[in-house]
Amino acid sequence: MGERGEEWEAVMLRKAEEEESKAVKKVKLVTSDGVTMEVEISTVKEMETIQAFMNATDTDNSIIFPLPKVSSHILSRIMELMSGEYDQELVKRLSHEELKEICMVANYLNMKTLLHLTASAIANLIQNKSVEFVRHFFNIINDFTPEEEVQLRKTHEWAFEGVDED
Amino acid sequence: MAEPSPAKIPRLEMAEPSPAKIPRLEMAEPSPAKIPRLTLDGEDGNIDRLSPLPECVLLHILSFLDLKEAAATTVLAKSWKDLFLQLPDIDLTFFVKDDNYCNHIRRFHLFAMFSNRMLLERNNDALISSLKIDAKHFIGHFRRDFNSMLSNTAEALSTYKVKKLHLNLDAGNSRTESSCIYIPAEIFSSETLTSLSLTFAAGWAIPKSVCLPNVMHVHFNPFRFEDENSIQRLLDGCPKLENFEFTIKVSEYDDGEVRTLRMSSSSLKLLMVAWDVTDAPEMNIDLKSDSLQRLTLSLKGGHTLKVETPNLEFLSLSAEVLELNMIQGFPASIHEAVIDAEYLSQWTDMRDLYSRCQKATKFFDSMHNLRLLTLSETIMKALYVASKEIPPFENLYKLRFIPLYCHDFPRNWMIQVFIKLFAICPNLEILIFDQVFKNYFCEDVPLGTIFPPSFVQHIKQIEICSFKGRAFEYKLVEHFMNNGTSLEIVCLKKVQKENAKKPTYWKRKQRKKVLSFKTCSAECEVLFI
Repeated sequence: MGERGEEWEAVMLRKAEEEESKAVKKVKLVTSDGVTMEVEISTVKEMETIQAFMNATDTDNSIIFPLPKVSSHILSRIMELMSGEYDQELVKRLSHEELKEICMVANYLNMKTLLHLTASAIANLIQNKSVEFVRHFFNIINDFTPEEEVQLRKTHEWAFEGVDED
Repeated sequence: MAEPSPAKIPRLEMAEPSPAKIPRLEMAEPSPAKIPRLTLDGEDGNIDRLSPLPECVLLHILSFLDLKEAAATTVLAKSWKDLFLQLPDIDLTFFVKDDNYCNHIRRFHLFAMFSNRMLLERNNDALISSLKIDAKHFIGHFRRDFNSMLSNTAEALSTYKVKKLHLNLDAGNSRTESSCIYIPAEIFSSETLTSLSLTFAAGWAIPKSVCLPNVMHVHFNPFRFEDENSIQRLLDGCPKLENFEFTIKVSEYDDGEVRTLRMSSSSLKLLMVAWDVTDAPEMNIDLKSDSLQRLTLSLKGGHTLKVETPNLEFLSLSAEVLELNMIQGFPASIHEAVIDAEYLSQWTDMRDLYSRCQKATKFFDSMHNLRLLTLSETIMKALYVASKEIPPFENLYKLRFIPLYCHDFPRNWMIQVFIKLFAICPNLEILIFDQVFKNYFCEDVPLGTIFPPSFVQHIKQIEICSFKGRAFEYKLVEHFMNNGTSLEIVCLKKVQKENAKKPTYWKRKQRKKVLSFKTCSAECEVLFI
């Protein structure tokens, strides 16, 4: 009787463990600055790059993903946006640098909603702005000679029509 | 199912595979655009973190800008020079802002130069998803530039596997020689096109051979109907066509030989045909399609229609119809109809009149499953004259009347039509009058005769769309509120005059009057809009 009881206990325990691992399966994301962030599997669903990888590797164990391109600061910003259901107001509060980085990470992790949101926010920022502003925004150095630039403006005169010179 | 207790965590870690087996995410590095970076920018002091945005992300950003603005990024740096050329959606629009004609010609030349670069100089793997060329205020002097754009468009169609093509030429008021424009016939042969829209007055015809195996949407406005078989040729060349809209224009130069529009398709789901002429010739329209679900015909001139569409669900007909033959499956699939047809234009003698009215009512035979019906006064005239009984609309729950005054038909005859009609709509719940006229109801016929209690008690909603506050309107509302045991909504809308500075508001007195009517339904709500 006592033996039977122990056997049963072991079965029950194993079952409980299985259930547990199914229900609270978490994913650990390791950022470029070495911080490990544990997130629920539902959060990862939108990160299609990771999702595709998870579908390919069928494992019951907890999974660790290194994100060498993502800092912990940016990852936590992304988590904020996701939990805020991508509120435009939250996007407006981001700095230019944060916005660009999040946009890049959204592309890297293939997060469609986030990419759409940040890309359109950036488009809004550079709309109707001078060439110098846009260069500064994207950290671009102008590598054209003045003659080349004049020639390009001539080739694309239609595009520059009605635009004030900087 | 809460988080694992801290005590268990070590065990979980033990269970992890050895480091070599840890699944690692191998992701291709996003190809960075070669954008030189400023290294001496102190913003946030964390510039090192920044990597340049990959080209596909930059294109995504540019896709939210106007094409002109996106193109202006060409001068940012060498790496940006040709970036905008890879955009998958191209919207090239030309319009003029002033009356300086010489300047227009120069500007159109610039527009064409720019457009041709977009069409010719992109990477071969940068496919075009949609291409729209819209030339407004077109004048004859633009033709050389425009023809070059069109021939480049035809070439781009196959090179860049264009999916959607929209060409629009608008000459405005000037009667330009747009006939000197030629749309290459190649646009009617494309493996990739899914959508084709031409709003082009002239310069094209459906070629002898059409091969658009993937096209699902086609829109022509206007369509010059010069060749009787052209529409059928198009339908045959588009085996997947589902949505087809066109407006027929018969040009004044045409000798008017085309008398029959024949259409047969096994893929069409939606068809809209309109006539854009004042003096349309009499025509036969012969339509046959098992797949068609929605049909809208806005015709002018007298037409003889034969419509064989056993799966039709929606029909909207505004036309002068000489004869309409509807062939429907049984039970009829059609459940919504808007009938604004003039059956009785230019009748010759009484015999002709009666015969036409019989035909008009016969047409309702195929509509016994209607759930929503809109009728204009013109069709009601035919219902009045015809002696034939209309079969009952057992399923009809929404009926709407639109006023369209017709000659030789005093409105006070309408009572007879109402009585006839309401008697065959036993389950009507929503009744809408776009407008109520005094002579709809005459003094000596009590409202209880037109709207008997057995009819009124089913009505849940009554609506008068342009309520003017006249006595007979109040009388009608009162009758329904007094007798409508199921009445839930009385909706009264004021007419808002166009160009009025202030909206027309409901006067307190008017509201009070309506609200003072006795209601016999506990749930009745009056909406003043």
